Amino acid sequence: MILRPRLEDFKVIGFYLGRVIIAIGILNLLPLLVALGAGEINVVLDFAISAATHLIYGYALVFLCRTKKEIGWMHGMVVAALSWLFASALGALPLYLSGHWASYLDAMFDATSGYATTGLTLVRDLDHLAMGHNFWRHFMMFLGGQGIVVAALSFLVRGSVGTFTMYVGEARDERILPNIIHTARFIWLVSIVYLILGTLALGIAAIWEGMPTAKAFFHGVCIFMAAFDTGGFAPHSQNILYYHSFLLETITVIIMFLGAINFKLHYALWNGDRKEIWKNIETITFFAAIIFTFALVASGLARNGVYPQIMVMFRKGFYQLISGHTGTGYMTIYAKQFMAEWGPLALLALIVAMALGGCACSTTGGIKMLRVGLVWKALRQDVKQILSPEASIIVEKFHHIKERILEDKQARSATMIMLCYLLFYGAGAIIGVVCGYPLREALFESVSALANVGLSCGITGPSMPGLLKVTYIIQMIAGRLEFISVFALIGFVVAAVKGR
Amino acid sequence: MIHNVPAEGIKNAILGIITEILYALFVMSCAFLVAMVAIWWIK
Repeated sequence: MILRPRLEDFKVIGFYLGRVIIAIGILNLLPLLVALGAGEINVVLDFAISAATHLIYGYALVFLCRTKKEIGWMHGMVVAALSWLFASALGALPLYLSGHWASYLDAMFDATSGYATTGLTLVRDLDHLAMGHNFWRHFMMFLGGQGIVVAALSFLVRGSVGTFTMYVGEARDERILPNIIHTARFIWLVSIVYLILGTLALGIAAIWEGMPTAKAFFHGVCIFMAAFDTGGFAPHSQNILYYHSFLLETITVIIMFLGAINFKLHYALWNGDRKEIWKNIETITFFAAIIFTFALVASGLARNGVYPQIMVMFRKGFYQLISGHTGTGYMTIYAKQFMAEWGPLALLALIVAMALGGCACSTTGGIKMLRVGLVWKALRQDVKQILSPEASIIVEKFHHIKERILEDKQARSATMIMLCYLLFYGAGAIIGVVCGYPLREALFESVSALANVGLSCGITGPSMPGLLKVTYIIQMIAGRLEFISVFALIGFVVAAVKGR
Repeated sequence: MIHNVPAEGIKNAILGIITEILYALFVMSCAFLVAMVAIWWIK
């Protein structure tokens, strides 16, 4: 029997959802200040309208749903899923007002892509977009990468035992510090330290390449936010190819890699445990996966004679591979080149890399290295069990911050999420084929959307069918939240309708 | 801990950042070798 949620349950959800929306509304003031600094008065008005809308919705929810009831697991999961839906719907407002998006759905697609750190875009004439709007696109990635709920927890929502559920609902299942507010603030500390270092490095590289100082640092901060949060938006339509700079490409590879590392690993390394990077199951799996997939990409490209020089192979082949594997989506080639030049082996290896993703509790999407490592260990344990005498008990260990014994619960959870990803990759590809695209292209784009990568083979554009836009929006949110909170939201709606 | 001992914490954080960047460079170097081997092998 399903229990129908009570009024008090709706109030708890509304109250915390309102607090998250207020936090995002306040953060809308930052692009407003950028627009003010750039002298873009119309853009200032766009963000004033957007901030006011966020605050009106947020305070209305907090006022109407004020309650003293503590937030529980079900509430936290539903709040996390609804926060992402509302953030995407409201975050689209300033984009739509700019006139660079053909419809509100297109603007919402880009807002979802921004918050979910995907990088697929439906913008028209990006090269002439105002500075304020361009900053907002990248800032959404910075917020979404760390987590909308994490941002709200850091700045606005009071900490309590229950707020941990919202944090988990946002696919952050690892508590770095005992206190959840301290955990959220540590995530922001890492991001802001790297924001300063990365912006300086990218800005100096852009100046080195001949860009004016102010523009160089604006591009630096935008590229950093999208690279560290493994997003993939860039200030220009040609993406990273626009710069034609080996130095800038190398810096972005390092930043993408840093963004794909588990925040728990950052914490261990920043606290003096530097050997952890060589022992951790995630870094070992990540390294093996990168080398294996790049070996396939390089073989496929070399066989086709696409990039016959090592340096070009590195700048085009490896760049796209690491961009796909970390879930960033930065490109140094044109979208159409994937299908026209890369060949089946290189393309398949890239799709596998995108599907696998980076580390858990990082800013990446996809199945993630911790799960791949755990499933591999579980498989090894089962094979060892079969080969051993029946009475023997096989114990499999792994190192993730400390030595751990693999439990059935961990293996089951990892396998279940992996299965969800595989099913949704396939479902998105089927819808793509239904919309008239070839299977290879449809699969590439579906994996890119669900794993929050952002590499495109050319399907994503303002003229693609509305059904596919909605499919990718759902995939981007489901992939970013790793399904559980989305399923919890669906379950909550079913319980509200059918429950007793 | 970073928030308990500032001087020691900052030193550890800087060394941690350097370790992470060096690891990223190590992965890049290995990939560069893979590219070299792939091109040499196919030729």
